[in-house]
Amino acid sequence: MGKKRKAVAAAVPQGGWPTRDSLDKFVKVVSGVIPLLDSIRESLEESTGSIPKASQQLDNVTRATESATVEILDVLERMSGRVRTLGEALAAGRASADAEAGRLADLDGLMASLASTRPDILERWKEYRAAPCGTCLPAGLDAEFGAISADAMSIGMALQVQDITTQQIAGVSHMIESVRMKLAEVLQSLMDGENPPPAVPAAAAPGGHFDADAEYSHSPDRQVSTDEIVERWKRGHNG
Amino acid sequence: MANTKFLVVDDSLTMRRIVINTLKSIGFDNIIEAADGKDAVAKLLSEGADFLITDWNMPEMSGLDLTKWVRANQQFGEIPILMITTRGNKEDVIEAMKMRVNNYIVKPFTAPGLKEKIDQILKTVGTGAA
Repeated sequence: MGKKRKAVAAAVPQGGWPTRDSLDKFVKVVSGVIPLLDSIRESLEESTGSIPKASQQLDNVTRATESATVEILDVLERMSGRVRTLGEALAAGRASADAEAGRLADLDGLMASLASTRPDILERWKEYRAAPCGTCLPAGLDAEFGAISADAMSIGMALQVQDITTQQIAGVSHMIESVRMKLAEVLQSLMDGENPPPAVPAAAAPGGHFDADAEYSHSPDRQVSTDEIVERWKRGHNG
Repeated sequence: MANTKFLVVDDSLTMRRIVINTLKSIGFDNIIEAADGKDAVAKLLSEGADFLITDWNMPEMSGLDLTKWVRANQQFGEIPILMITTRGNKEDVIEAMKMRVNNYIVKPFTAPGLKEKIDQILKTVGTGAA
């Protein structure tokens, strides 16, 4: 009897057995938690279902910007071609103008010989030569064409931003996919052996072929420091 | 040198176009392209090239793995390789140099910068220096 009493006494929790009131409260709390867990599960299911759509939308953004960028590059290529053609025409025009100037100089000599016999024709010739040239090519056109070509090239180079933002977006998609997988694990543990959670399609996440730290910067510093690293390497390994 | 055949490798169509347009603007118009390292290997074997310009991050086969393949290949082992990539960490640059790329450009690059690197490499290759 002594041993039994001791065993019962040892089984009594510190603070005594729970009362009926406290047991009622406990059941009430647990009853409240179950619908809460159900609500969490539903939210998780909804979230994991939405994530693939978000990734797909990011992928659509990347495709759309690439498509638009290539269109712009096409236009720039056509522009550059046209400027080259104009430049070639300008050069041909200048060559013709130089030949024309030579012929007019010859005529100046011939006309001068008419001074005594036909001074009226000589006078008219002088008026013609003194008038502004209506067919001459304006000065500075070469420089303008060069500037247009340079601007087209600058636009083309700036479009590198599309590649860089694509990589940044790919980094975000990768993170989204990681979150989706974690959520799916949590969802699975909440289901805890009950009916398995509905299959959630994988997000449209890219493989590892992106640089999430890619940055678009005009500063020459990155290339300068890269050049220093390359030069140091070459010095160290060419000796 | 103007007839040097370039193979431009990048999974970004935009970047391939930009590199190719820049090459043309500086006098090189013998150019083929590939969308990743695996495609580049196929192009090298079927069409050949004298100069490789490659990105790093690409699906199927990265630029680094492509460089490794080229350097191990008897036929193309010594062709110049220029890496053009967004990766600018010291560790990345050194890793590429260990694979024996000839030089390294960080994106976004400039046309004069690309010309300078290509000229340097062609001059070095011409003299037989490393």
